[in-house]
Amino acid sequence: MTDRFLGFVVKECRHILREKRTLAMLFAIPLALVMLFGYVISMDIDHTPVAVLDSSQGDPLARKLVQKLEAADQFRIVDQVRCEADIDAAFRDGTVKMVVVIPAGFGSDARRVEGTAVQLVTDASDLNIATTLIGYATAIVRDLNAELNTEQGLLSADTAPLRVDVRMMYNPELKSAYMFVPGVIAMIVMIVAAMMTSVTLAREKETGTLRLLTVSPLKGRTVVLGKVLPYFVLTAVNTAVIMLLGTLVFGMPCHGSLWGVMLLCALFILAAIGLGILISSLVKTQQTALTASLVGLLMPTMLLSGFIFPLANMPEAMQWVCRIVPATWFIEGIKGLMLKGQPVGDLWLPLTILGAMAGVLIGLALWMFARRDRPAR
Amino acid sequence: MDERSIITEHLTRRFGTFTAVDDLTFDVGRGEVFGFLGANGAGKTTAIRMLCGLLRPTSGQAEVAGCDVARNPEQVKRRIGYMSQRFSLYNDLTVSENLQLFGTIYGLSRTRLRERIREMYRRLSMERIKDQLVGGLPPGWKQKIALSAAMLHRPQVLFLDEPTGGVDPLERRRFWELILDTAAGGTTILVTTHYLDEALYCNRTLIMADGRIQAIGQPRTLMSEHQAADMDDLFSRLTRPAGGTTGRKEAEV
Amino acid sequence: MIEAENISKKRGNAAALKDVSLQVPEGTIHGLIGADGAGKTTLFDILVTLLRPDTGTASVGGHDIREQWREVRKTVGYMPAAFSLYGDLSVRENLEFFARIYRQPAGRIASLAGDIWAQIEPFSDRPAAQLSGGMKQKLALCCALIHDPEVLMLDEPTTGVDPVSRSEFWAALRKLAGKGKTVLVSTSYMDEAARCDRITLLHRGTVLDSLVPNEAEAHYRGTLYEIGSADIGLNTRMLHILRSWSLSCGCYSFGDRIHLGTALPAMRAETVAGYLRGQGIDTSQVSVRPASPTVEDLFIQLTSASPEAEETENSWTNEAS
Repeated sequence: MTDRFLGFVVKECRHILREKRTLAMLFAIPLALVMLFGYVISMDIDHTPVAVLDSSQGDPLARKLVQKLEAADQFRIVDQVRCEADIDAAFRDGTVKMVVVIPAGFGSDARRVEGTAVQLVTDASDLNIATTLIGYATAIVRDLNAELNTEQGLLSADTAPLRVDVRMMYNPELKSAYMFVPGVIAMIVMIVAAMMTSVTLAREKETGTLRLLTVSPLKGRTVVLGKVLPYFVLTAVNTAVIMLLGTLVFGMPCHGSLWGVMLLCALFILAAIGLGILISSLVKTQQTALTASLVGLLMPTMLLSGFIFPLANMPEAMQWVCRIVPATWFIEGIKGLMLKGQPVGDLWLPLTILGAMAGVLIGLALWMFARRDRPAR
Repeated sequence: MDERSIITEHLTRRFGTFTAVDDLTFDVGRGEVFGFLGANGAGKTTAIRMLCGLLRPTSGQAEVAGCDVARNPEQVKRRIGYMSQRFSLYNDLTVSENLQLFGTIYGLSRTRLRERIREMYRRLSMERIKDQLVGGLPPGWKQKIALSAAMLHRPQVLFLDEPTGGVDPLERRRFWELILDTAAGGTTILVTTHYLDEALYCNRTLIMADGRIQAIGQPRTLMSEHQAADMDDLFSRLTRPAGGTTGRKEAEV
Repeated sequence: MIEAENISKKRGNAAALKDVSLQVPEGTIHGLIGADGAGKTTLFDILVTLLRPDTGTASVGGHDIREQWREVRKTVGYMPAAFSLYGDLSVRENLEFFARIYRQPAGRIASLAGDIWAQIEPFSDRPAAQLSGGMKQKLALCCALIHDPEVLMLDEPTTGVDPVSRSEFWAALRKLAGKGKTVLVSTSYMDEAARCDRITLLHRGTVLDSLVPNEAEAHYRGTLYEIGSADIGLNTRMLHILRSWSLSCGCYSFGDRIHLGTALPAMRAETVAGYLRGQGIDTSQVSVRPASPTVEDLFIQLTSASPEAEETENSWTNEAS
């Protein structure tokens, strides 16, 4: 078994490596994404207009904070917001990118045990800028905390009297360029794992090599597993590339467990390969395999997974359809783990469903190919 | 009018340093059935592609149906018909849909096309199968329909590339009778085949090896000239010099 | 050793095979002769155990194809009808792959295939798709030989291959049979029948006849005449005249000759010439002589007797344009 299996895997790798154009395309797609979404990202936040809404009436601590903000290169304090009601208009005009709200009794509250909070209000429609601004502002508040603690003879790392309270406006779901990353991964996995597996297997059918394999001592299940392994590795590498691109270029965070992310990806890839093999066992030619994968797999992955159209906006019956699309669960899981930082335990549902799908699909593929071993009726 | 339908003079085609067709000079008369024989890679396909105006000669000239293949390939294409066993018809279309398609490709007017197709049905008694899908027909029928499709525009020269592969002997004979019949009507026919006995249907045969003409003439005359027992014998004498294996032809691909 | 008895198989509603029987002893080449759609591939599918027959029994190398299909597969070296190797892999890679799944050292091929491997070895690094037709088939034969099978089943190995390579291929098969291999090979080239020890003529799923190739004459009913002249136009005229002759049973052109079959066992050639003269043919340039029937003549005789053949007979030949 192992030697034949390895022989098959070697052959499969040769096919993959020989198709230079396809291979180049697989790795060019992530690069194309950078170009596509690149314009959305503007890292340039020098002297960004920031307003301060100070309700503390000249509290020295508040003044200190404003001075610190003013001293930073990133910020330029503007005088646009006088009261709470101005905030909205200022954001809409684009004259202000962040408003620092200092509450009444700021200085005195800071010296109490409960402490106080600085509220950072940002325009989250440009999420990248918003998060960067918050990052800088939070650092300044942290500095101030350290100073306050030293003043009171405490260690600088002790409990912070000033907390930061972030309020993102206009984009409660925090959609950003990197929100596309899970959807893009789902697409790539479908192309590499499902479509390529189905097309290459259909080719073996079409050219008659599968007949030779059936007559040979090679078992149907070895053929299936020999397809799964190389395409799993190829897809996994591809997925990793996009993930890296997402985190390094788009600044996509990974708040949750990396192992959880890997597990989720692995299950999704396996389910996709299973789908690919199933398609190939139902069609006769490469052409139909390609069409079936495009219509049966790629379209739903794009349209019915929440990638492009949010599920919440769909009629209920449609939502049920979406739930049988593996990509739906994958995207939900990835968002939960990476962006929301949910613990793996909270995502048992997507994980279980994807795991079940992978198991059932690969099992079905194995069964269908094992059945081919016997003389046909 | 010139009574020769194909005239080639020193026709040569090189691919890089490799000479696929080397100094081909021959002509084919109007209404002649001309056999084109040679092993795979002897240069047959390259020669035919040049004659059909699909490939420019490196040097030399060829005139097909009165048009120069290098200067006027579009005119050449309009005046010739081409049929190959490998690709000819759309299996998922019916007989009449296939014929209509090919007629339209060659720019026949609707009335003329209808007339020609009707004539074709009558001649081959195909009326009863005209609405059947081509894919489900026996190979013998497919070939007749493919030939009809290639002849709808009444070409002066017909190129048949291995037209009889895979059909039973009876069908093959019927097909050849159809070819001879067509030639008798004045159409010039250039045919390639792997069934060497079929060369005897041709008025003249050209045998190619290594891109060159090895022999040209009436099959019976060639056989007696080379003291060959039959076409197979003649063919192996001319295409395989003493002790030679199939080395050169592998170099071509 | 291959034995098949009364194999029948339906494909859809149509019968692909009807009561087909054959026997191939060890060390012999058995030819399955028939056109596309004759049922050759279906029979191969059944004998290599890809397909179960509806009725009938068969054994390959002593193993029953129904019960011991695993053993049958180990016994058989199989070459499907279409080129069934990996075109993007090189000659060597293809061979190595099959060697590996059969757990054989790839180097063994030189001793198993001898000449054939010697002919393709110089192109070891070339992708299989870029080989010529003849070379592809030789490579496929090498891959089928890698596990030194007792029985070889080759489905149309010479289709589309040029005459010289075909001849080389048959020489290789003869050598393999000499080593004791049982060879079942199908072809649509009638002239290849002579290369076999025994042939089965297959037509539309039924066995027309089974014979030793040089026995064709004994199986032919009636007498055969070869009639011909150097004038093609005259030949065509004679063909039509002879077809409508009441004594003719089957009249077909064989290149520049006409083969005329007659039911009468001992008719003289002069009778044919006399009939032609009576129809206004100048027979001074026409040769009429008795001929010994070939497998092809026999095949034509057997197939033209079928009702479908008659239906289309003469449908177009008598309409000169």
